[in-house]
Amino acid sequence: MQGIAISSGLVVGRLAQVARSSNDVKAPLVIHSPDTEWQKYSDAQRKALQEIEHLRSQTNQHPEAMTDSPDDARVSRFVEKDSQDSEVIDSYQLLLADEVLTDKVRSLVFRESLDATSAVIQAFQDVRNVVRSMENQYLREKTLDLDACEDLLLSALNTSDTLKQKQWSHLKGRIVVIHHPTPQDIIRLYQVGVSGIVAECGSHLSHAAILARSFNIPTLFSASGIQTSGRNGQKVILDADNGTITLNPSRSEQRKAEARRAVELMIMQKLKSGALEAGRTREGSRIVILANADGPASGKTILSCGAEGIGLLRTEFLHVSETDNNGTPETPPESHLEYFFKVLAESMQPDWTTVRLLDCGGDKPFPKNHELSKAGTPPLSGSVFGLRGIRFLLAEQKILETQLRAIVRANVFGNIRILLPYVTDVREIQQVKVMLQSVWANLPEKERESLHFPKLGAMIETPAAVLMLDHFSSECDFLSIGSNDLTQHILCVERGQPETADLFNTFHPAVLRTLKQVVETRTRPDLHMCLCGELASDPLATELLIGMGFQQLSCRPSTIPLIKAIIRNTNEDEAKKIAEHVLRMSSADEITDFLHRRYRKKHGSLAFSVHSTERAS
Amino acid sequence: MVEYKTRVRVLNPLGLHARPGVSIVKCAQDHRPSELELRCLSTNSRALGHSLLSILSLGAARDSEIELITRGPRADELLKAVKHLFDTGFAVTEGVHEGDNEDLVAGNRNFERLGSR
Repeated sequence: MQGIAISSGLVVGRLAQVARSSNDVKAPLVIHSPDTEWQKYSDAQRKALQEIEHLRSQTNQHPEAMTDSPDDARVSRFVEKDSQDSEVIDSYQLLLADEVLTDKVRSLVFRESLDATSAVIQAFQDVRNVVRSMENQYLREKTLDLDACEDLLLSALNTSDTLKQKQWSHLKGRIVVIHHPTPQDIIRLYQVGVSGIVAECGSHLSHAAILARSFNIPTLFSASGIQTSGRNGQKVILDADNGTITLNPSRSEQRKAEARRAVELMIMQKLKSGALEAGRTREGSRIVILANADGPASGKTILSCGAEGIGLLRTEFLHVSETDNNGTPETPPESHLEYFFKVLAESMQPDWTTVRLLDCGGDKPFPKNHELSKAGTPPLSGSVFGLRGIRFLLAEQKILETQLRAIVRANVFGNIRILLPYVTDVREIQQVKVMLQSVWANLPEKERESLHFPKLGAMIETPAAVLMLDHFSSECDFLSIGSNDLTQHILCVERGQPETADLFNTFHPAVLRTLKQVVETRTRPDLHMCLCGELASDPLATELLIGMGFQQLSCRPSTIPLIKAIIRNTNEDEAKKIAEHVLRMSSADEITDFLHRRYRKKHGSLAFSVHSTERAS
Repeated sequence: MVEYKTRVRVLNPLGLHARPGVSIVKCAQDHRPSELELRCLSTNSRALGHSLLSILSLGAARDSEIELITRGPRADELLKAVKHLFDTGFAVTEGVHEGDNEDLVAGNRNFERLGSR
């Protein structure tokens, strides 16, 4: 079952349905005015401070009197140990009234329009992230002060929260199915400690989504049908990296998922320390590692994996996730797109944020309100070809123009690049260029002064693009090679077709030879050429790709630490020989066998050898 | 505006945690409207003297070198007072625990368990 990935991660676990109260069904996200929310926060702050003051006066006289009232249990919790210590109480007081904290909440309320509760949670989460990165253990452990203060503020904000929390305590450790979560729901689910969230509805731009991301709970929204088909206690695999949930997985699926999770955990633990260093081969050549970003993309997580920019931002999720109960899904307004791009680009600067324009049609769904989508998707024509990618955009100029203008306006920091999908003809690039120029020219001159004209590039994912590469490169500032679609078109195999799915193999010599040809036709040394697609994230392929001459790879963020470790363990001479050797081979099996052996011998000790077993099962 | 600067070292064994932080903030607040800024030279981070949170965020461990900067009408007084706090290892309370760091950290963990959700 498919959904929109909101917050990445993979969990195997059991489902628990959250009762569908009438309240949940409507669940309109009431956004109060920032002023009201700010007032609420100020009141809560005052209330919490009063509570502390009250506590001080009580502890000074009869410490034991506190425990009588159950309401005070939370407060008395920290009295038990430190009742005599007025300095600790001082520290709570200072934290609650802290200027930096207050400023943070203020900006979340007024600039990000969060409600007071979400803003408090988010602000404390930010502070915790800072604290967690400290080296000193004692100081790190002092975060507990934050927990207590956060509790005080939250309960002052909303007393019913704790009540609901109790009702939901059975959800601990479960993958929770919910209709349309509000920010408060996400907070409560986080507090009871759920391991994943799957929602029937919801949008990636909602506050609920932002919160799920910041709490790192693997989350899927818009998984329509999950409420009817999912049962309590049922085993599932929630793969929020790929936006899928598998009900009643087979044992081998489960093993595979668990292996992948183990691998990723291991990568993170073992290799994360080296992830932030640049990827250089033994000889010292720099291999630039970018990230493929999707719905759950948050700049912070991407950078912390060691990415040096975003090589491919898929934007399809921006166009399909706006499913609302009242049946008004829509292409997002320009301002939504602009805001999303700007926030992401800001967190990535000065590194690239490469935005691929909407890639729909063929085997990919159309925007939901589009008339083509009503005719049934996907695939419309029963093939991967058709009105796809740039063809669709040029046919629907309004949709294209909206995206271009949003990108241009978001390019405040000058680090956004535009990537055109599914290009087969130089004219297509030229047409977009003309439109981009006119979008630029039509902006008020004042506005233009604060903006940068974005760079433009094309996906090399069709045979036509490979063969026309020299002409494409003179039209473009950079090129991205999509190995997945290229494989599909070179081998004439559709990924979605079960009969021929086995034939889809990126290690097919025809595909590798095509990639080699692409690298070799590179006309100017300053032309950035990046390989995105699954092949770039495959540790088995890294050495081969370096040997073939790739200098930029765009990978799934979770694999980046491992890919970088392999790069550092690679000798270019050896890599070149491997590439030559592999390119002479006649079948995909021969190639993968060879690469497996090579990997075990050369890089197996880097993190584990689990990867190969996962592949085999 | 007049600006005063000096460098101090964190002498107390536990570093700049809540207790010394509270002393600094109180001292800074007593000297308002003068401002205090702390720069931790080892972690290359900055903090506002009026904010406990930002002082804790410095993550300044024992022996960290800190640059104190004060501005405003009573800047010289404020600088002297804060420097004194540092030089005396934030005095009093911590001395009780000084030989007893592990207990303190352990107690801290118990506390955390109580507080964990």
